[in-house]
Amino acid sequence: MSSGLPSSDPIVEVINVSKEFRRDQNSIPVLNNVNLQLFRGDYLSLMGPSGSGKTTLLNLLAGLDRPTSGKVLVCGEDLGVLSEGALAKWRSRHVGFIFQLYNLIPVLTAFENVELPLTLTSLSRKERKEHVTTALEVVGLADRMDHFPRQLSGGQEQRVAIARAIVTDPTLLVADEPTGDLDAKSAGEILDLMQRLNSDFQKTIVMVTHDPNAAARAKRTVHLEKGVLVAEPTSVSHSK
Amino acid sequence: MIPVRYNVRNLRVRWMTTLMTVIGTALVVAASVLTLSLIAGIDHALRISGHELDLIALRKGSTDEISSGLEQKVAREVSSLPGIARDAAGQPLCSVEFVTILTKPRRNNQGTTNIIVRGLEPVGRSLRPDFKITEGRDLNPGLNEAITSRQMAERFENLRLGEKLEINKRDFTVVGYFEASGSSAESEVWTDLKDVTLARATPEVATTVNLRAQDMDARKTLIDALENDKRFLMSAVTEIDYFKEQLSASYALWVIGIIIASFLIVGASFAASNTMFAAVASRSREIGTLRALGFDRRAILISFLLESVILCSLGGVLGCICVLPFSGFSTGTANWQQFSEITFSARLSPLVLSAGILLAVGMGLFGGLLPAIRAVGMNIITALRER
Amino acid sequence: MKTFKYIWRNVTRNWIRSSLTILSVGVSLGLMTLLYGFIASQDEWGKEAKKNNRIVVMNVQGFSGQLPIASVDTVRGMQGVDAAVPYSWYGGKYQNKEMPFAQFATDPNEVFNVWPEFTISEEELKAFKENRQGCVVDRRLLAKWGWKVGDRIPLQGTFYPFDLDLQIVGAFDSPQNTDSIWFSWSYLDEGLKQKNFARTGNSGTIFARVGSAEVMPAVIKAIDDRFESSDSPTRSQTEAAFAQMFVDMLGNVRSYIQSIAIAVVFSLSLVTANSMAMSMRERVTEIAVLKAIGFSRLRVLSMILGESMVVTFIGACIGFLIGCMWLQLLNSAIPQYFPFKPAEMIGPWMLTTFVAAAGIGLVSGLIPALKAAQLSVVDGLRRIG
Ligand SMILES: Nc1ncnc2c1ncn2[C@@H]1O[C@H](COP(=O)(O)OP(=O)(O)OP(=O)(O)O)[C@@H](O)[C@H]1O
Ligand SMILES: [Mg+2]
Repeated sequence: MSSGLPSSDPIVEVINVSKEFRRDQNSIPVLNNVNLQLFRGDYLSLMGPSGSGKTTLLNLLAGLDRPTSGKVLVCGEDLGVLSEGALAKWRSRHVGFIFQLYNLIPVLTAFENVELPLTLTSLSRKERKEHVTTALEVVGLADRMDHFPRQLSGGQEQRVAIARAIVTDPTLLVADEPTGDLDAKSAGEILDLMQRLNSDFQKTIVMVTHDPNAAARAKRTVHLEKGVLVAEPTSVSHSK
Repeated sequence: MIPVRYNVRNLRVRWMTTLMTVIGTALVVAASVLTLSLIAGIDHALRISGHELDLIALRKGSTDEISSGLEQKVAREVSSLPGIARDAAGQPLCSVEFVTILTKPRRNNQGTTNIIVRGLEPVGRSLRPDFKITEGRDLNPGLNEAITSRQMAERFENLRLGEKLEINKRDFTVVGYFEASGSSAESEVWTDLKDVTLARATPEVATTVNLRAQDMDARKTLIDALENDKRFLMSAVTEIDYFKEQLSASYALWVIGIIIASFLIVGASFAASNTMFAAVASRSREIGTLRALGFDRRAILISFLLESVILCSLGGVLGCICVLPFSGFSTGTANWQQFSEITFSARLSPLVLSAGILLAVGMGLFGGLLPAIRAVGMNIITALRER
Repeated sequence: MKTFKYIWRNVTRNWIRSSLTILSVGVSLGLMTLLYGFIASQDEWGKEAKKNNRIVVMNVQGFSGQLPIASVDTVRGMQGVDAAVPYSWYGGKYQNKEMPFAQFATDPNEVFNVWPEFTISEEELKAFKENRQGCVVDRRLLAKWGWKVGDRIPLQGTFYPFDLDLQIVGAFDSPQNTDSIWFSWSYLDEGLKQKNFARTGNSGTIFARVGSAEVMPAVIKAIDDRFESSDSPTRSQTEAAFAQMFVDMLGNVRSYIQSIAIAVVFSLSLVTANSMAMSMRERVTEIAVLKAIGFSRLRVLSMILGESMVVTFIGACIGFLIGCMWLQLLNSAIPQYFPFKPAEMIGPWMLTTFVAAAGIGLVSGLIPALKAAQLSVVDGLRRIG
């Protein structure tokens, strides 16, 4: 389904991945033989009806979960063989998260929230400060860094969350419905920001969304339906 | 009113928190109830010891038996006074006794303490409430034999059946256990009057005359007779007054008990408060809904207070159940009056148990008040919007 | 560093919950401090008594038995004994209060030789020896009642039929508050003789000072042997053993206090664990986010343990202060039960409360922390939909 041959090695490779959840005795298949490749600088949007397994796939890409079968390779590394601790370390270096509900830590200021992932690195205080300031400048909130999340609007909160996601300069940005909880204007700003991250900073981004307009901003779009990747939706409900 | 079922359900849903709080409360209630039961035990021991018609005669000026000293010959003459009750055989209920103190080790290396050894004759047994031998046999005079209570045997070295107690280098063999309704006699070792005075190298000496009056009028005349008769140089007090004096032994326990209980109860109320605050916080939308449905502020207040009280009462009941096995558990405390120890048993009377439950209810009310007020103070609109 | 700031923010985010937890820890550890302080003060008493080579002689019958006054001279004359005095408990009422302080009849000429660690000025001691109705008072007692040298202290006898009319001639300094006044034994005895009291010439107990600790057992044996076949056989013991006897009488109280302390610690662990668990339940998503960002299990674990330990530590400090305040209070209110100020018995028992607090923090944080560490990131994130 990917268009054309890769010009270089893919940084994310999903090979024959299946995922099922076990509840009581019966297992629920969620992903079925999914194959996907992402290259440096890719901006992929992932669409599909609710319950189709988008979040599940995203979690697998981000190393939050393990596939039932198949492999997920990121930068040539097989996430399936990493231990829990190694995965945590891997995530801190390679993945930035953007959530629908921002998930900022309410007791920390914008600055501190963005700084949080950096506390896992060996950077000095000064270096951390530089990084955080840069990230906040990128999202345009340098003037709000001493504000607590509840003192910010939803859009601003999401921008802080994006700053937090990019501050470690991760290989991959994953966003699960980043605009799902925002009004059109704020959503537009967030999408602009993400596009800029992709074009100006060559960030590789995977974004789950229900909004076709949002999906249109990505370089390419894939659809998940009942756990299978399809190039175009079978139903025409998602037409522009 | 909001149905109680609603509160019970909520407690069940948050069962982990409920359980923790209940156990915490239970421990506190258990500690308090245990303290109360000990106080009740010592009170009982001293109260049951005093028979309305009984008198204790000591040497003039003595307030306790140890510092008293009488000539046996003189003491025996007391029995000829008019107004003394008689037993079935027609013997006057008047017992000449000798009390001495021994310093003996407690079992399990718990240090030493003073125990009371009382020498007396058979008639003395009828003057104690429901005296009976429960194990072994009564002592035979002249053979250096002794009897004591089972509690004493458990608490002190050398007092079990067959063991030998040394008094001034003479061995007294313990041949039986007795009971006397939990009275202070159960804190003593009994032997024969003659045997113990010989061991102490003070033959012909007694410390106490214990006697029973026929009736209240006779009691009065007997007191006067002993007081005024120059022959005796004695003064008599009623047993009831005598033991009331010794109740001071329980004051220290009272003080300790009250301090411990009040600290613990305050601590536990805070804990209950915590749980209830969490309950209110996690149910703000529910509270909003209830208000929207038309329940008034008072209904909400009562509902949360009730929940808090139920929570703590569960702990109270559990706490009371936990201490039930301690019923009858015997221990001792200093009886400064006699410079010895009084042995007594924890008494989990209904009064003590209900005091425990009452404490728990109090904790519930006290701890639940602030959270309930917070629930009442909530704005309906914001409460409804809460996640 | 950063982590501590975050922990601190977490402690303060739900301030009602944290303060309630801190207070309940504080109150209960306050109780523990008080109880252990009480036990420690009993032990301190014994330790204090060991320092001074004193022997206490009493009748085998205990306090109520008699010791003729002549025995004092006999004891004084024995080998190894430096000084000896009669020491008799008067137990009178002052201003109609039962035993407001301890009153002892003793020998003014010798008493400061038996208690050389107590100091008094030359003139006051001289006055004490010369004034038959004179008494000397512990300086703290003097301050407590607002007395001055020269004041008259009338005491009503309770078991002695003779009332005392004492005059303060001086104040002595002692290492601990003795809460006592000393007056002349002969003043009491002469008074009793006038009243035809049956048991005059009784020294009560005898306190004797011995040259060195080594000879104490020998002297004790010598005294008891000497009086064995007299009318008043004696039981002598070191002052330490004598003090221990009082401590022992509390034997069961002690183990009772210890079981209460165990119950307190246990129920506190529950209380703190409960409050930590409640916090964790509200923070599931947040913890999932932390783990998604790359926080390791150990880090999450230690953050939460840190939080519960901070809470219990603050509680411990407050509790310790409450406990010490009570000890101080009780020391001035009823020095006969609490003879020491908390500052005078600094020792390992203080550590106990802090160790208990740390233990409570650790134990109570452990389950919520482990749960948080085990939490599946995917499930945690799903909680918000
Ligand atoms: N931890 C889990 N345990 C059991 N079932 C799960 C779990 N996670 C997901 N599922 C199931 O897997 C399916 C896909 O879930 P997923 O969250 O990936 O859907 P989604 O495409 O992201 O939907 P939405 O657009 O609503 O977010 C759902 O049916 C869900 O019930
Ligand atoms: Mg989803």
